[in-house]
Amino acid sequence: MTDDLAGARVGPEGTGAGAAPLLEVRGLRVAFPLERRTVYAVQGLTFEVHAGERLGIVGESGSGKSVSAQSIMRMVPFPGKVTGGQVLFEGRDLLGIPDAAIRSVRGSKIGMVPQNPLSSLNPVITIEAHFREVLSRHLGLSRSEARVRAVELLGSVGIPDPAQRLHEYAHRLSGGQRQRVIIALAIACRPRVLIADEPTTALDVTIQAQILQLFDELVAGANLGAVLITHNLGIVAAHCDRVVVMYAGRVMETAPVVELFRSPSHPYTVGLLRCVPRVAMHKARVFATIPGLPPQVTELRDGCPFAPRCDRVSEQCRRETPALADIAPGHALACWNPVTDAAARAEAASV
Amino acid sequence: MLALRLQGCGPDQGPSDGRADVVLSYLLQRVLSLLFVLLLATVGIFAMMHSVPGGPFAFSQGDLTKVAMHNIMAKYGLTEPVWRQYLNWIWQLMHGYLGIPFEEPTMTVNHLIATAWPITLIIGGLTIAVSYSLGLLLGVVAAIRHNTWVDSLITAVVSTAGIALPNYVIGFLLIEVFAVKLGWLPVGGWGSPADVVLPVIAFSLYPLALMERYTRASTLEVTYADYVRMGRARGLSGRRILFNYVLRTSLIPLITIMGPNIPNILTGSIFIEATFGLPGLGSYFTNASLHRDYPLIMALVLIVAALWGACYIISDLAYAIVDPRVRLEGLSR
Repeated sequence: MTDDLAGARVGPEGTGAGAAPLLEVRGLRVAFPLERRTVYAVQGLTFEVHAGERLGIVGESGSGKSVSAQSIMRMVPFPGKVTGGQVLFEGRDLLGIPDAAIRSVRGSKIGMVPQNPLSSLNPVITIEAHFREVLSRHLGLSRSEARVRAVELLGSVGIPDPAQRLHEYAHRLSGGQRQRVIIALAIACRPRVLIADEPTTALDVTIQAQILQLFDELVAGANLGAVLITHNLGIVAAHCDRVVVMYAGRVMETAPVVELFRSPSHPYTVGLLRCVPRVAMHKARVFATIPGLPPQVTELRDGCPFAPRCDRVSEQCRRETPALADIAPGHALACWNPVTDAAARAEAASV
Repeated sequence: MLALRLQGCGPDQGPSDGRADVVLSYLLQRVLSLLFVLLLATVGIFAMMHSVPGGPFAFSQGDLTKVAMHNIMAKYGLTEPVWRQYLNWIWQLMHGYLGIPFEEPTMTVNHLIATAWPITLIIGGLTIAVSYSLGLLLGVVAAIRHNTWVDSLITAVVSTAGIALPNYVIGFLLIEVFAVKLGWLPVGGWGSPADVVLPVIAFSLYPLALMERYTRASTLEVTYADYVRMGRARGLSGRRILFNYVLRTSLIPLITIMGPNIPNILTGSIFIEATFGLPGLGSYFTNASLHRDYPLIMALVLIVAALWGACYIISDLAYAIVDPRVRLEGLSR
């Protein structure tokens, strides 16, 4: 087994300095036992989110981002299981509390915004019914109280004519409007933490910008802690305060967003940054890529998971797993041969 | 033209269409088109019936002289041209008279159906009630416990008893055990309430299996839908998720299964009636065509066609009622 957890916490020096974090994930492990093999989707993930802070989790598809988000609320899809670690929220480990207790955290203390707004609302009940059930479940509001609050919430997420919209069914709303409704539902009970799992992948670009702006306003307005999962580094640059770069279920690098873009140190981070297409691409009409695919981890063994695709790989990388260690205040890295070359960094950082 | 349409997304759809006058005019349009379909169906069947070689009295009165035969034919109006015979039949029908069955000349077709169909309707109605409720229940249980022994057991028993074995085989088995060996229930016949039990059980097995399989499949599909996951992410209780999120959508497609299944059951089965000695409608379907009993054939065709048409109209309406994404079309202009 690897031991990359020791002292590997993402420092609180980031943005919400000082106070205890709102949400703290420590050494989270998630595995999917399948018929013939087990997929180790998350291996010792550690991060924290402070009030008013937007934490971005980036990585390629299959790096364990979504599963990590789902496991915070104990919603890992079957047959996945959380096999280790802690999720500390308001002094409790969410992974250890009874089912009834986690249900009253979901949607009330922690809100979730999904990837696909088009299919995430119940098609046979009205928008009002969605609000009614969540407001009565968590806050005990009556029918008429819930209606008033729902109108207020829909207005606050920028839905025009909210009282009218309450009577509609989801299929009458556009994708952007549905995502706004879902966000309004997620913040209906004034949660402390908002988890958004690629909230704009299914929307077109102008709507994306609007939704992310709304997200920023909500976080700042209610001093929420937010986790934004994405594979889009442009979104990270504009809408996050701190970044966790994930690969194969592990943290590769984490830093405040400015720091990460200024001096990316993990070859994987540098590779990701290089892949961002630029308008003024001068050299060739070819997109930069990282060769190969992220692995599906089916056996636990030592060594850096990125080694097979890394251009700075050494013998040590294949033998020993690098531990996540601070290289600067708030900037932690898990790499044996970090990028220090100013030129490479500059090229990558020109995003 | 009159089809149901699944609405696309978009906020530009017209106002909601639950208004009573819309539904009424939709219904009127559908009923009129059903009448047209019935007309076509009866013309078709009438023509086919008369073009088949052999006549109604070819077997039973085969030894008669030509003159005597002609007299019999003339008595039933069979010597007239076929189009004339059809018009005569329509004329009778408009007066609510279905003619005299050739096989039982002392009765009328009206009387025959009035005696036989209620029996079939009682058996059929009970069969629908039993099989649909039990099928739904077992299907939902199998879906909730899918890939466990409960699921396997339900699926195995239901498929074997309902789909693999014909219902008369099960029927004979039931008679052997509950009537002959145990003596709890009558072997067959019609008269006392106990007479319905075994036929209803035997008749229920297939529709039960049908409902169970479809309920299980469609419930399983919805269980993994994004909006169900989001419902859980909002902390809703398991009960609420099951009833308001899963079942409320997963049961909608079952209307499609019921549409053609209900008229099938309500017109009876010759196998069930023969097995349990029930004087129902089912056996007439076979006998009437074997004996070229023209008036009876026409009456039965009319019943079946009208029942199918009505069930389709009802299932389309049911869709519009239970699924807000579906709306009635064909009258917006």
